[in-house]
Amino acid sequence: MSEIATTTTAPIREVKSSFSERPTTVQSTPDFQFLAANGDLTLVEVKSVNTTMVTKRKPLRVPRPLMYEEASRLGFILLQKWEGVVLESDQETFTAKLTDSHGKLRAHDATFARSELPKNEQELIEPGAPFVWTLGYRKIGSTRERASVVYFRRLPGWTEKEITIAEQRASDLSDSIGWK
Amino acid sequence: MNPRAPDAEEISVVLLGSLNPGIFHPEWFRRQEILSSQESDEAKIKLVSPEVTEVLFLDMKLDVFPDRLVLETTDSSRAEKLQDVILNILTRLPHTPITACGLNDVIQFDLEDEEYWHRVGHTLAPKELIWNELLEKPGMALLSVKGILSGKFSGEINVNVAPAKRYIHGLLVGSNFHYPVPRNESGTPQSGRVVDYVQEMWKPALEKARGVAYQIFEKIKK
Repeated sequence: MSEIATTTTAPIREVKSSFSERPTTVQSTPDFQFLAANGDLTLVEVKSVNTTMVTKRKPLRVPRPLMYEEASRLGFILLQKWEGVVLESDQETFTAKLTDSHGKLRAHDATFARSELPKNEQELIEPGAPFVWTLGYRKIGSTRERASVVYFRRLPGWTEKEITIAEQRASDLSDSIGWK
Repeated sequence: MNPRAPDAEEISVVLLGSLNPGIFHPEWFRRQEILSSQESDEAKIKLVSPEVTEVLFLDMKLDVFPDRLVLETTDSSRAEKLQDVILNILTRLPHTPITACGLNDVIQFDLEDEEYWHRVGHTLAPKELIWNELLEKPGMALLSVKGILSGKFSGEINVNVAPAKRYIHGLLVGSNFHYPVPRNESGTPQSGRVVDYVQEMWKPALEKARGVAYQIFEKIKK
């Protein structure tokens, strides 16, 4: 957390942290406060020593922020990644063209069950939709299991400016061909 | 290509600039259609405040400070998800000044071989010339090498090689693709270029990061 803000290297953290259930007592005016999703109120005092105002607030018992837990304990050993584009789909399946992400293997078509995806992502299946199919081992503690992950890309939509530029380029290209 | 797959991988994007941590609430991501309602509901909020935000969602961890945003995952199957989230953040906040962007990939290998592990360290950081005379049992703790990132996006590549502490005889190779955002004549960073950088350099950066590790294995045979 104290890394110099001129590098864009993510810190390799050895120490993780999480909220402690242990309450602490705050007796002065907080600089700011936040409400956690579970309803815990935490007060953070940065410059309370500069406060000259007498506080009438009663002491509050709040959780003390300690170390945060690791974001995810699930590691993934990547074996192969395919980039796919949906060619066609029906109620049960979708067929896609797959290209090796590393350009080592030949492209091919494959058919997937829609149920490979969570319900809320199945609506993304439509011709032309890009996705990534990752194969590997998912590490859970000291064990590992084979894993196949299909992720449909959620790239930002085209902006009006980008569409205008693309149309202009297409027009220029068309004009340069000199159809007769 | 070396068939050895990394035993652990951590991918992250760091943005430097002038940020407003308070807006990075899962509800904002939902309203911006970056997260679905379900994903937003399942997000774990550690802290959302004007000074600092820490949120977990989609197996990623988001830390935001007034001058720094870090989005990271330890699950390499989420790499493109992470890229999409960053691109969506950047396109939703086009007026946020971003001064630099780093694409980071930290790869770890369990070499499971003490002799080979020492050989890698001694080859990368030879001890004969200087260290053996000065220190008892000198060992490589960290090797940092900097290179230039040339082409459309001028920047630098910083590579760190070190023992991976999570394994007894582990090797960590961390690569940072640092892109200082060019400024226009008035000194304002051209933040829009960061979108292009993340879009175009993502795959080459991750491949290069792995390439560094594989080069070590290729040149230093077991």
